[in-house]
Amino acid sequence: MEVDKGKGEAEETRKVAEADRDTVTLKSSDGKLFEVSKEAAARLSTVLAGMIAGGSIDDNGTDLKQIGSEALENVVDYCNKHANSIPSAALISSSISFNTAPFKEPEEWERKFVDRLSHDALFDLVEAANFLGMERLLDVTCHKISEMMKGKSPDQIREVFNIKNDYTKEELEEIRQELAWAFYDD
Amino acid sequence: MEMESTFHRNALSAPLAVAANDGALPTDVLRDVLLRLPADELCRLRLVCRSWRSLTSDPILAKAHSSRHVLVVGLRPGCHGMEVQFLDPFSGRTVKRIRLGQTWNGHDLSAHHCQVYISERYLADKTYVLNPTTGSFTMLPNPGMVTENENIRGVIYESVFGRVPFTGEYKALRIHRERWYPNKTELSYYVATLGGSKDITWRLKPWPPVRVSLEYRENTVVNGVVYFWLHLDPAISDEMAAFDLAAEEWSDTLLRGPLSSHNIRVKEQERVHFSLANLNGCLVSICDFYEDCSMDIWFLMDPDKELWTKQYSLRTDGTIFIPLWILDDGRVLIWVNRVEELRAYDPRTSTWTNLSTVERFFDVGMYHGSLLCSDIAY
Repeated sequence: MEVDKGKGEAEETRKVAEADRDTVTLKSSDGKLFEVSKEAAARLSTVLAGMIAGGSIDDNGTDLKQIGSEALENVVDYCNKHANSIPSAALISSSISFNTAPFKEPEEWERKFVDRLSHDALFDLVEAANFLGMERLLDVTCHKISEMMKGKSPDQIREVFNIKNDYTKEELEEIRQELAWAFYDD
Repeated sequence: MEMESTFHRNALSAPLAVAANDGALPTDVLRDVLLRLPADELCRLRLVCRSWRSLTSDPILAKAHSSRHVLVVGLRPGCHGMEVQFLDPFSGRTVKRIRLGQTWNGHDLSAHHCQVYISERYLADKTYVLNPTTGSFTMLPNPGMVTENENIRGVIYESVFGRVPFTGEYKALRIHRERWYPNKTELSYYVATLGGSKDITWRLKPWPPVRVSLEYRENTVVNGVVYFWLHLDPAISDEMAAFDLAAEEWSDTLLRGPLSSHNIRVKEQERVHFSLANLNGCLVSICDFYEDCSMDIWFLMDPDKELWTKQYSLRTDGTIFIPLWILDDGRVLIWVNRVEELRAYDPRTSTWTNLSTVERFFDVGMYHGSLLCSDIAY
């Protein structure tokens, strides 16, 4: 009884201490620790928000086994940068809304943030954003990938996405003819 | 090829490539990326591999894509004759062109949902239904019967196209008018259901209860109802007649426009041109006070109560400004014919943005269908 009570108190104290902290510690698949603003993490990631609300955040580093240290560093970096930026007018949604939903353009700093990433780092970051339910970061990274794809030949795309060409020559020619309009030049 | 080396992905350091699909990205993320690309880029990606081809031909993806990419469709002379062009209003980039292969004159273009129609104004026998996905077009047959007072040589046709809600059928309302007489009196009204079977039969319909205007942009289709301004001086009345495409009959009552329902009288000296349009599925009445260089756009909020609200009031330069669509951010997309520009007007800041230049277009409209696959349900 005595022991149990003591343990319960310790748990209680730890939880209070954790609630008081304004950062959370995240641990990458390769064991590296990263601190991130609790407010930003909860605002930008639905998964982290759920973990914080549910008290499943570990003071010694919450394990994120699916995310490598480079991607997690970028996630944390993004959260911290986002916490310091003021949303522009473009992000404030209008009162008149119709049923089209165009994508929000990335902010200048977000553009720079993804532009400096290597191709591998970008792909890892988009996966991390997807895993953590970070809608805005997913938006920014998907935008960047779509920009990369523009004007690329099928061969270049296959290389970027590590895809094997499973068509025969005849099939390719058939598709090319069917879609002749998409290959018109002015 | 500097780009290629940047994008090169070393196979040994590619743990993501073992994802469930055959690429480096999870399918839901890949879809998210693809939705951002214009339709022509997506079609070119069909050459990458089989799974990308089926992904970019998927009706669900096509529908999501068309709701995110606003497309303007227009008729424009190209180097191989007349072309139907689909373009992105924000960049002015042509996404798709369909060569009609003929040098036609005096065309009308009409786009409704995912259908595009082209009529040749002065040659009675040519109205085409275009399939924007395949680029094929079929000519509508002419009514087989001819009413007593109708001399085929002396007839011109006007056509209005629309979609019947619930059934999803497309119908055409066709009006035959006297060709050679100055007031071009209407002779007969026909309706046909389009699509489905190849046999299109025209059904003769009664005349409207009052004479309606068949002039450019003085009629429009909203929710399966064709609205017409009356053939009257609008200073007297801004009432309109309505033809229901589902029941194929004229409404017994006239619908009062914004001015008469609000008891606003246009002063005799005020020069005003009224037009009707379908903006985002809503019937709008556009009052263009061209001498004062101002324009009011009224939205019909409730047809039963004849409730109209003025949602936009903007300055023009006195030339033809044609509102096309309300953008997601509340700006109104306007085609300024004289300077061949697509502009966006923001009512909150009363400012204009020039989006793009669209040179040599005869007529423009909005296209709400997909260029990726034909059979998307609406």
